[in-house]
Amino acid sequence: MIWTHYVHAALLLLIGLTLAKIVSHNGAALLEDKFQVKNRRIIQRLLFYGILTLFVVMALKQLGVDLSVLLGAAGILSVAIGFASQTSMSNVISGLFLLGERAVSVGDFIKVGGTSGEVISIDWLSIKLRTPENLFVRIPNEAIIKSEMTNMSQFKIRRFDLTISVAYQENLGLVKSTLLSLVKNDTACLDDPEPQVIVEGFGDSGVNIRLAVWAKSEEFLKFKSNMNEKVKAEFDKAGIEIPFPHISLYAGETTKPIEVAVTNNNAKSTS
Amino acid sequence: MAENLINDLWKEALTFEMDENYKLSVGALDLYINLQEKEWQFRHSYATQDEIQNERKLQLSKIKTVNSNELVVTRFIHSDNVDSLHIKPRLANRNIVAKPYSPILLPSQQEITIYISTPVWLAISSGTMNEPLVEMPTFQLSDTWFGPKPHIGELCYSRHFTGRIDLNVLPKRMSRVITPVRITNNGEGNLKLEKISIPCDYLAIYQNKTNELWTPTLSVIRHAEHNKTEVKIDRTLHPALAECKKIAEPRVSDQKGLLSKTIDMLFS
Repeated sequence: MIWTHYVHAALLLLIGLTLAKIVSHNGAALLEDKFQVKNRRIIQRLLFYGILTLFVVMALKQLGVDLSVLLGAAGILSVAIGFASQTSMSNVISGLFLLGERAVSVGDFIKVGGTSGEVISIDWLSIKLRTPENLFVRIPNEAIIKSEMTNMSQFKIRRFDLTISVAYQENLGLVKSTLLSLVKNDTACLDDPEPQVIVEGFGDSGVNIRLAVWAKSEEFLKFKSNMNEKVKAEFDKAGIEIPFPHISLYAGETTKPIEVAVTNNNAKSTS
Repeated sequence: MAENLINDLWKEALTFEMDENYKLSVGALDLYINLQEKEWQFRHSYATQDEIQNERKLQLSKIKTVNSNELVVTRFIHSDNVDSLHIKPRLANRNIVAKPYSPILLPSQQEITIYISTPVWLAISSGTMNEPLVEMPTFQLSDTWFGPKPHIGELCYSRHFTGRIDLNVLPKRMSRVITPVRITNNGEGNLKLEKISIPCDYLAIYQNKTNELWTPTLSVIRHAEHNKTEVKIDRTLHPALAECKKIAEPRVSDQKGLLSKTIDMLFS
């Protein structure tokens, strides 16, 4: 009678082991397109150990082990562990949500709070970034879930807004045509969505213009720098003045104009 | 300076002498080739829009020097000396969105074939190698977005076309590949053609007896039911390809993706 219990328990363990291997292997293969290699392996392990634990419990029951004591102990232990690993669990769950949302993947350039950088790994507890200054930054998954995250690589194209001021005496038609002609002849600027030149308003020193032009998201920084350089060169060529802040001093209507005297420095030095 | 006009660039290998500088002009592209000991050096530049108003002749010339300070050099190093290059035509590595200079309207129950020419890409391979060392366009095309929203669609090249419907007035240019687009409007009302995406990845290149480069016909049918549009690549070649040979395979052999890439966003 006892022997049959042992045989049943052994059989259950064998079946559990085989089933866990099959399910974890095939389950991971099914998830191949949806998850990265690293995450796939974690899911594979979870499936394997989950199924195996179930069968170990069944085998123990076959052997007549009182599971209620074990479960009670496990309950107390899990409460203790739960309290101790509250932060970690919060990060793990946030990580699962992040994976589910597919808001970010390795290689993307993201900005969280004041930190921006390229994602080098997405782990259970945190996301690791490499900043443009080549610094390693670890951001807890919970912080990413709670705060605003900008993914600069999510879409293939981006809009670049160049705000520039031109002097009041400039012909705005010429300014517009200069900017649009520059954009039209630059192969890096997308012609669809259409580039726009918007007169935003009147500033302290000149008319504020905004050039909105679309480009590929990759190498955007290079594009931005090139555009700024080209706009300056084109304005110089067309004789369009980019003003700097002017201050006019006015002493009031009733007061006399401010007295301006020209002194001859040379005469002073010789005297 | 020795100059060689080339009638058929794609036919046979071009042979180069060691330590000599060559300039190959195709379309707007000027490709400077220099053969060194076990090494190929390539530099390239593009003619400006004004310089290519008249289609330049395809030619290979020996030149004295290359202004190497201005052009970036790309070096390919081999284990042995190879003195020949094979140049094969390719279509662009992304779809080309062709836009007519002015919108074209096709009335209901009409069928027309429009000829759209797109610049050829050069695939340059060394000696007997099949894989090209480098691929480069003969014209620099502007980027564009083809899709209903800036986050739905794909990045393409942009090209304007005249919308010629008479084959006889179609300019014969060595650096262009002609794609006949047959549009059938079985729907109600006019069909406004503002832009059309040429699925370059799915088209093979054929050379006819007069050395022109053609692709198979792209057939666009607008059906009467719900104005649905169907796009397919015709199995029968255009009559201009009566005597022809296939000189380049499509980049993507599986045609499944063609429909999703062109149908939904074909007409704006």
